[in-house]
Amino acid sequence: MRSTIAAITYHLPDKVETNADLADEYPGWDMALVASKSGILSRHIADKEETAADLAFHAAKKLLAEHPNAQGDIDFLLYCTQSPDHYLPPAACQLQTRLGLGTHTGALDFNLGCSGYVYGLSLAHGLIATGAAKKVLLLNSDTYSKYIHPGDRTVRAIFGDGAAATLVTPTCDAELGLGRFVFGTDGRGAENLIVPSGGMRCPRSPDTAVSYTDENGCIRSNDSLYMNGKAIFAFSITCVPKVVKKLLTATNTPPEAIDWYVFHQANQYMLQNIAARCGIGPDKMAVEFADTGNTVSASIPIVLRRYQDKGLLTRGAKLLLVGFGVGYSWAANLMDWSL
Amino acid sequence: MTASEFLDSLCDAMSLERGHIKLDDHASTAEWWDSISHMAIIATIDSELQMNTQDDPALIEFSSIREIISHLEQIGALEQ
Repeated sequence: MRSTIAAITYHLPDKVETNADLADEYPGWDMALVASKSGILSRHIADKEETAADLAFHAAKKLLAEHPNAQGDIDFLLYCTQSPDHYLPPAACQLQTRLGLGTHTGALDFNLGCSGYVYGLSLAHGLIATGAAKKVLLLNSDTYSKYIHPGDRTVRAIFGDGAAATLVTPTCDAELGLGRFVFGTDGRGAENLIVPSGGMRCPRSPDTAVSYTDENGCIRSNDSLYMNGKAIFAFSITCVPKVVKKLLTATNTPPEAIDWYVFHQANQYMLQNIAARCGIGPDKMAVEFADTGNTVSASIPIVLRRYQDKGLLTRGAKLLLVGFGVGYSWAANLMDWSL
Repeated sequence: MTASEFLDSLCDAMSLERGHIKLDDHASTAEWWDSISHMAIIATIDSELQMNTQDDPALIEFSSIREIISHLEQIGALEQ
């Protein structure tokens, strides 16, 4: 049984933080350089009381409002986040009730970052292909801003908060829908993108909350997000071209057959380097993050919905998706767009 | 590729005039060296020398041009 994306939408928090806001707060930050290299001009930031699950809820409500007949048929909810409301219970269980989904609905959380959307599609596809579920609601949401020390330029200028909702359903159309997946993991990179404390390995304490300033003048503590940008960059420019080649080779797909390469929207500099290494021209590289920043696992579905709204995705368009990042973890999918 | 040719490649990658990047340039003192420039060096190593930067921490964490060139020469990526 093939499966496909039957609906997709996203939700962003109301609060917007512009580069000018950051420059006002930290006059020493060269936000013009940040803008020219990262391509990010602003990002949406969740309020103090607004969680990733709240964003996911709003994204799901928007999807259900656009597709009112879907609600009763959803029999599985997958929720991808690295900003959980609680250690337990799973937020997916609370979202099932908040969304008014039936108690027959399977629901689970999974913890992945920038690879989480493609992984989520694969999990949904697996549930459908095995007959375990018929309509899967995939929610991707993160609020990295809550982990980010306000004085850490390396991550504060890059990441934004956001959520996406995707409805995955079976399809009888042999020409459309989700195709082959490729996955990969390299845990050697785990410490290059990490919140060091807060879990059982290193619980939060007064000691972990102590701020320090690194050699680049960035301020953080062990309670906040740390990113080794150089290592993440090296990983990404090495990994993604190999994954693209592997997927194209495995499916015997010539590169020119791809209509859009939809990669995790890390930042402009990263995507330009990856595109150059893959031989992808700007006319086939989906880019959509100037006003959102890097929204982790929601970045790919945000691109898909916005390109759909702009008329850039037409039914039957061949897309190659790659999510990559924290873990290190990566996943790719070749799909034929069905909306 | 020689060290001199590699320096030219770095200048090209960063749209700097050839000769701008010197062997003695250090991350803490060179005016052109910021976080993006550092990534440009990594990208140049990856593309011009076909080195898998991800697998060699010394190709990621360096703080001077002399340091990275010395390492590239040691591993045979640059002609001595």
